[in-house]
Amino acid sequence: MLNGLFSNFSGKFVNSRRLEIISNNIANVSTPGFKVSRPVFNAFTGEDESGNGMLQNTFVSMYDSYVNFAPSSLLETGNNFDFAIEGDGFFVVLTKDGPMYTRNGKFTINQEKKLVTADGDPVLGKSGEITIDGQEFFVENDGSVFVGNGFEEKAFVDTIKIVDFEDKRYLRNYGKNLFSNIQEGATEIIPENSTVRQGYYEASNVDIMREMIEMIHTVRAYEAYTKIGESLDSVLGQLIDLTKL
Amino acid sequence: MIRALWTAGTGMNVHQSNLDVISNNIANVNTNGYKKSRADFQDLMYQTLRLQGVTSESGNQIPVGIQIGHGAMLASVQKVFLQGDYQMTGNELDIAIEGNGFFQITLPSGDKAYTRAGSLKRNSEGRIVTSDGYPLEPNITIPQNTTNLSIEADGTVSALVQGTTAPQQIGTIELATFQNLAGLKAMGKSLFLETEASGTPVTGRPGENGLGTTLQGYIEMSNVNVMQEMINLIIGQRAYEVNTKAIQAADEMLQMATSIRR
Repeated sequence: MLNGLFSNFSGKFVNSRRLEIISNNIANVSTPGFKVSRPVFNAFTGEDESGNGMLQNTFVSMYDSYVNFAPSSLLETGNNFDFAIEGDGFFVVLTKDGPMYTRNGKFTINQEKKLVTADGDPVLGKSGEITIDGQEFFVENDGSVFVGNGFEEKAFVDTIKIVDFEDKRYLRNYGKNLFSNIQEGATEIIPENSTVRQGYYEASNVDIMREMIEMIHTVRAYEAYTKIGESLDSVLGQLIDLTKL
Repeated sequence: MIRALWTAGTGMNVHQSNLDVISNNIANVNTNGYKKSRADFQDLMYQTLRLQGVTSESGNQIPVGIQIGHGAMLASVQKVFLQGDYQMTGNELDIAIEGNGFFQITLPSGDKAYTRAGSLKRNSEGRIVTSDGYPLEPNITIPQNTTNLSIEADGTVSALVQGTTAPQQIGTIELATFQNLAGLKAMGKSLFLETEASGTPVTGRPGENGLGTTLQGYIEMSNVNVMQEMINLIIGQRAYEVNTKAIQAADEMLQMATSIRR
């Protein structure tokens, strides 16, 4: 009976965690390059000592949460410093905590004329930080950066680095639209068929419809757990009342 | 549960800021030389409940961890320096810049400000000033009894004074541009100020150093696209709404939790 209350509590607990993840997805519905997170639940079952396969200590736990790296729509801005990756891969940003990976290509330049993120962290090219010194600035689909002055011929500067990973499960949310890779010995691979689009950015891949359904589901599941808890409580109460004979 | 309330709260916060930015853009849809602003968002830090890649008690490696985010925040509000449309006015002191560059203005404090609002005026002394009376830099004074004022694409200003037949050159408009336009600080009145992030101004005559050319009789209108702002407004409002739904859901669940014990 009490075990029932414990498994009931575990159900409530994972659903409140689930709502936290949904809330975070919804809060980031307009965050460029944001990737939606989903929880994964796991049933824990234990058999009692009788060896008859009687179940006890059954409960549900949140096993893990994963990031869905599905691509999202590319939105046109016409701004020279907005970039989107069409296909797989990430931009590489050098932060104080090491290289980070992002799909948010809303960059700008700092006073040293380096291409940086909104937080001022440099965006890496194939040969290091990218310096843009000139009036005009073009990026080709293969990521090569050209800088020109007026009608003079454009000069090649560097190629924007796009990397991908064999196993994206090890990419961890860092905040600030960045992901860090925590897999030991993971090697960056160069994605094939990925193109860079200047003047576009990638929208958040949060689907409001899906999140609303998840949210309704969560609340109703929580409600059901509450009702079951109430029944268990009332059965327990009657049991205790019986002993008062 | 309480965290879900705060998380959705941060979402409401960023979309409210987004709405503030959009409202300002819409309010300035007819402001000459206005450059629209854009709000950009970021996700907040994550709480890692379990790290991926660690080895569990049974010796298996846990493939993915548990991370719960804390919502969204405003990353930046930046100006978008796309060219606005030109409007023909025929007014001899309306000047538009075709291409890069800003007019240089001297503020009463002596500091320089930069603008693309080319609806210039002349003051009682004949100097070319902005609508607020701030003089153009370098200073150009229009002689008395000028019947015709002509401004060339390269910024040369010539005046035809009554009683003479040949126009005389009275000055040159110089433009300035910056490495990082998004780093300029907007000070209102369609003026921008230099900052550390923008870098130092590169000045020159129109048409040189990648600067644009001047066009007399036209003004540059606001670069706000009403259609785009309306779409952003709808998206912003809906995003705000869905965040309130998340708060309601958290509230409802909290209420159920507190009503377990009657």
